[in-house]
Amino acid sequence: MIRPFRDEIARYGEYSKAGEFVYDHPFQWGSKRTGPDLARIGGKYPDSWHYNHMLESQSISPGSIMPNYPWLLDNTIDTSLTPKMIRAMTALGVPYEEGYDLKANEELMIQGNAIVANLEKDKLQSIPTSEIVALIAYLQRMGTDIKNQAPASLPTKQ
Amino acid sequence: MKFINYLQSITGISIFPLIALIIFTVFFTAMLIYVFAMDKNTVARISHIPLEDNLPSSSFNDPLL
Amino acid sequence: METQTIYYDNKIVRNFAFATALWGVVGMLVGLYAALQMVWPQLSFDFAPTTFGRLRPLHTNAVIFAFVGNGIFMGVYYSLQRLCKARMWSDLASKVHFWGWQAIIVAAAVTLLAGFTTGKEYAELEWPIDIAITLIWVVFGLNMMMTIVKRKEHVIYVAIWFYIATWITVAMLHIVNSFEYPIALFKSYSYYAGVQDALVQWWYGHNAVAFFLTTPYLGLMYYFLPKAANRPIYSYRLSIIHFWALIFLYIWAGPHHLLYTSLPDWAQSWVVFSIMLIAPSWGGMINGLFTLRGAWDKVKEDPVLKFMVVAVTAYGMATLEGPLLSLKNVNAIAHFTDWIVAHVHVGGLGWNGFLTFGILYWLIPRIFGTQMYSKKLMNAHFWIGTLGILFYAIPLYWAGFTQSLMWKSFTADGIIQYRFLETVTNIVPMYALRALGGLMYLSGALIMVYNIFRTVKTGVLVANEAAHVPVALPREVSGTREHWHRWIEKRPVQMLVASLVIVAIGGIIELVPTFLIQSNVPTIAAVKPYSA
Repeated sequence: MIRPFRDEIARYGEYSKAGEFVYDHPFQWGSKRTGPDLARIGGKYPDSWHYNHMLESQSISPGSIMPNYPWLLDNTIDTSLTPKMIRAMTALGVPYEEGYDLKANEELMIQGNAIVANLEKDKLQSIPTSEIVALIAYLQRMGTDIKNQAPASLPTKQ
Repeated sequence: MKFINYLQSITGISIFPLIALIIFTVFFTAMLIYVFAMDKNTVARISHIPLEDNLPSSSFNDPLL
Repeated sequence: METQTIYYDNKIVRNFAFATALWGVVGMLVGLYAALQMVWPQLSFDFAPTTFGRLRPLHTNAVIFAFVGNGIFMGVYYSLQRLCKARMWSDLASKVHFWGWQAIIVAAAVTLLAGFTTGKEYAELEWPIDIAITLIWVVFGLNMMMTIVKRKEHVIYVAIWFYIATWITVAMLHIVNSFEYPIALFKSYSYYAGVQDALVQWWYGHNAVAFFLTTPYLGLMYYFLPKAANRPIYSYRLSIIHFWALIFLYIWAGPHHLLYTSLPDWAQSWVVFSIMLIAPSWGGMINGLFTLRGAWDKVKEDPVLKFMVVAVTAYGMATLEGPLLSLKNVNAIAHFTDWIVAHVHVGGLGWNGFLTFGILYWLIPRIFGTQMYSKKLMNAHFWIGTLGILFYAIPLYWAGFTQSLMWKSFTADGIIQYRFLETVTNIVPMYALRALGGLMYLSGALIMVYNIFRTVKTGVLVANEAAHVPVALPREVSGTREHWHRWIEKRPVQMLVASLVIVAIGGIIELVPTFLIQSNVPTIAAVKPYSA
């Protein structure tokens, strides 16, 4: 959640708009910045940066107080739930196209494999259904949708 | 159907907030009048309730007590 | 007047008291562990269940719902019976309530550590536990209302009003905020999305503070402070005004958690109610402190009163700071920083913690027919606890303010002056001091547990305490027509309905328009559902 302040826009990017969260069940704005705001983290760093950062943040940012998440490399996501998740979202009003629940896993694998290939370029091993790959996919999407429209000049406060 | 559609289907829901606010204002004003008109002895009696674990404190104008 | 002997149930009070002490220590220990990880992150041992992200909700849930929750029930079960001159309606309901609540706490701890969460603050528990909470809450409410119905005292004392308002409002908040769509046993999605979800969440989140940490404890204050001081409350009139004004205003206060966010501006403007809240809050504090007027010599002697005085003072501090924090210019600095963490801990450690300790010290020797084992240890607890609060809060206020200023600093060339990481490493020493404060506070609690343990060993539980009460509710002889407010005061169901109406007003006006008016959330064509 980036507030319309000069410093936050300079640090994180365009301030957050209500329309960006209409499909977020639940909203994930956060209430405390123990680490930097992630609302526009998507596309800011390469996949391998996130991989290393989750594995050991201190190796990238010495002095960071973020814990290590080594298990993300070993744990896998349960893809058998994906159709159910999509159907739940549709029921809550998220406009997925008809029949997307059955196509979702196919797309998931394509996206997962792309990230795996990306990581491989930096000699990092992973599988498309690992938690780390799923997390990278999410982080790289964060706050990027709005960049696909023509930038508008918006007034800022402070 | 989304939750908001159910709310929208209630006829005249836009007036609800106004009614609600009026209810509170009336209630609160009446409550203030009541509080300041309260009988002194009643107030004293009620405020002693927590201090007595056994018999109830003398009941309102109760001739037996 | 014909009287009969009845027996107050002290066993249930003891059970809740022990649970309060136990979960208090557990909750604080988890808090300390999480605080230490902010200085030494390697303390997570690279193990998922002990990472900060899982400990933090465990800490908040444990101290709010387990420590303070059991504290509420302890105080309610003790005071309600005596204020109603009646034993609790059903021993079975009391037992189901007690064991049900403890089971919920254990389930909460296990699922949170295992990583199951709804992702909504203070409402992280997944849907099966949400349902269990609702059921147990109904058992509690039924037990309470039926006890009030069969009372042998005309007037329902103001403490009970707070209990009733707490019960109905928490029920409303919990049900509305927990609307979720389950897809597996421990996985569900919030029914609301984005801005609406944020508004509902903070309507709930703020009022969890209001109706779980504040109103029930005010009820306890209105009973136990007069008890401990052995003098009636300063102004009963003030308590009536305080009650209605507080429950009406509090419910509006949620949006101050969302200032400057994507919440529409008009919804943010409800914070005017947050600022108005200072009046009834201070009404409560003044009523508490003035009860002790002319009795300050007693306060010096009696550790129970000392705990209560600090509790009420901390309540006053926190409720002065709250409205200040909802001023937009102050909020712009404080939001997202440790300032907020310091603020809630003044309330949590000071108001809730110290009032709970005061009540425990007052109540334990009474239900065990003995004296506290050591007054010295009580005083030691008081001082180390008070210092603990200061060591906790002051460094965090400093940390929050410093970090916020660093975030907002620009170089002469108009470039951000500090990297985010620099603003963190700068305040790590403050985090260390905060952990020390937490350690002191926890040590105080451990001293209390030892003191209570020794006290209990010297006494015997008066499981059923005899009391003489009228056979029938004394008939009210009154010449004048019954006043409408008196009509409410004597009828628990009417009180419940009146409270619900008053709190629902704020909820309806605040939430409904966001759901109705499409223009509040302008859609952006480029924003698409999550997919590859």
